[in-house]
Amino acid sequence: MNAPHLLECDRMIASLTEVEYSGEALSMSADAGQIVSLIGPDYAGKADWLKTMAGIYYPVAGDVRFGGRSLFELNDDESTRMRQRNAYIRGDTALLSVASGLANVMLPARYHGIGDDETIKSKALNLIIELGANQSLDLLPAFVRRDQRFKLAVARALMLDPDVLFLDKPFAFLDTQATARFKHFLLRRVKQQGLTLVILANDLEFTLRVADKVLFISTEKVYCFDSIAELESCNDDAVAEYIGKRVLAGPE
Amino acid sequence: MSHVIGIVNALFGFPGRIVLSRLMYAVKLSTFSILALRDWVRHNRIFSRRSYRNVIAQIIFTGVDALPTITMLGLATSFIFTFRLIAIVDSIGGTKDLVDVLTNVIGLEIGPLIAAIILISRTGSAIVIDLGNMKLHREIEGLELLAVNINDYLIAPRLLGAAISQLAITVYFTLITMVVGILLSGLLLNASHFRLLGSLSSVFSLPLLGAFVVKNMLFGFMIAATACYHGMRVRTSPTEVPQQAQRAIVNSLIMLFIMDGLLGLALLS
Repeated sequence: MNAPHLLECDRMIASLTEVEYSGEALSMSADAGQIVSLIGPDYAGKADWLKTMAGIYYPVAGDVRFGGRSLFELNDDESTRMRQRNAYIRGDTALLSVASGLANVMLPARYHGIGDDETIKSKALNLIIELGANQSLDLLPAFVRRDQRFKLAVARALMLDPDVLFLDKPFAFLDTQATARFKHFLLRRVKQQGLTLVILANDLEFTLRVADKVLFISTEKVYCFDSIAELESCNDDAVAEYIGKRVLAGPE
Repeated sequence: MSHVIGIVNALFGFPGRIVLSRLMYAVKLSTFSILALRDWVRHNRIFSRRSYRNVIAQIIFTGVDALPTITMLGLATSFIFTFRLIAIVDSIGGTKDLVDVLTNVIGLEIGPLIAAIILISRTGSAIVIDLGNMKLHREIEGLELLAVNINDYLIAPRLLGAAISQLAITVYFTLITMVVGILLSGLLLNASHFRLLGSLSSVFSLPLLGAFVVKNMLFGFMIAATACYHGMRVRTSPTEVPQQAQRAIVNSLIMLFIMDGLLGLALLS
């Protein structure tokens, strides 16, 4: 019997908050060390699809499975463990305003009792340095630059060593240089530690370069392409128009 | 005729609706508090040293940081209540029961009530604003996405910290109020009143102490629960924060007096 996929969407239709979807359901899977990229026109509800895949929203149809376990089967404790294994971060994820940058990063590991304080602190510092967010360790988030806050939020999520990292517009508040450095960091994590990345970035150049799977999402259809070649050879007008348009327009 | 029935219905219905809405509010608040404590116990926080960090932070804010304010109010109240009470009871010749009167009126009624009012205005409003802003800026959502249980991490420590702090500040406040009041009356009215200081400890029986502890912890718990409940009701607009703070303060005050009355009746019986 095959081992269950790390993440699996089975005939799933996302729970959409602002748009209506009239197309077919999505079936896809992702395993350790893969990069799944969500692309598609603006205002198509991509963020809601990402949240549903991350188990934050329940799907309106179908199922989402984590390590073979259905989202609908999980009890409270299993849900807690599932959340620890699947980190979700938006570009503007808020840190806890009453705790310093370092305390914020240490928070989840402290809360879940993963190691003693010294171990947690050293792990947090390593992550912060790796991400280049070490200018704001003792400051409260209100006094920290937005890009630094985002990096601290990423470090905080990675403290729990998740299997899957869901990123919603992660480059929104990073400048060109910081974006390049952050992409490099992500790819290193994927390659060296087998992190699975599900990313909604509207950055077609990045998608075409690194993605193992591409989800094209519009209000009328959802496609799952298992390779870039498959995406590029797609005959659908909406996909072709999107790729063409984006290539001309460049990354956002 | 139907018009008259409508007016009668409205007249009798109004108090009924008020009572029902108050009861529903009490039920929601109790459920909220029970769930918070259930999550705290379920996550084994009761046995975990780590979890006391948040409780202690709440005690420091509510109890320790409030000491200067409580000292000032205690000194003022010692004159307004204790000294005046001794003077009145003295003038009608009831010196024999003076210690009993002082412990019951100041120790069991005025002390806890004034300490609770300080707690409502200081800690209650701070909790609503704190949690409300966390909700508004999606800090709480960020924590939930890291599998941090909000009841366990943010709510229960506030409930327990406020309950312990209310007890501590009432003890401190009552001591200042009674001791300074007696000293003032000894200096300004009759030197024999100094003897009241020695008899104070003798009137505190075990049931009285128990009632004092239970009453204060219930007050503190209720004030923090109301504040947390309203803080967590903030949704999307910054205007909701002051609205919820106002509701929390008013509802805490109403429930404080209702609880005080009910506990008073229970003590009498």
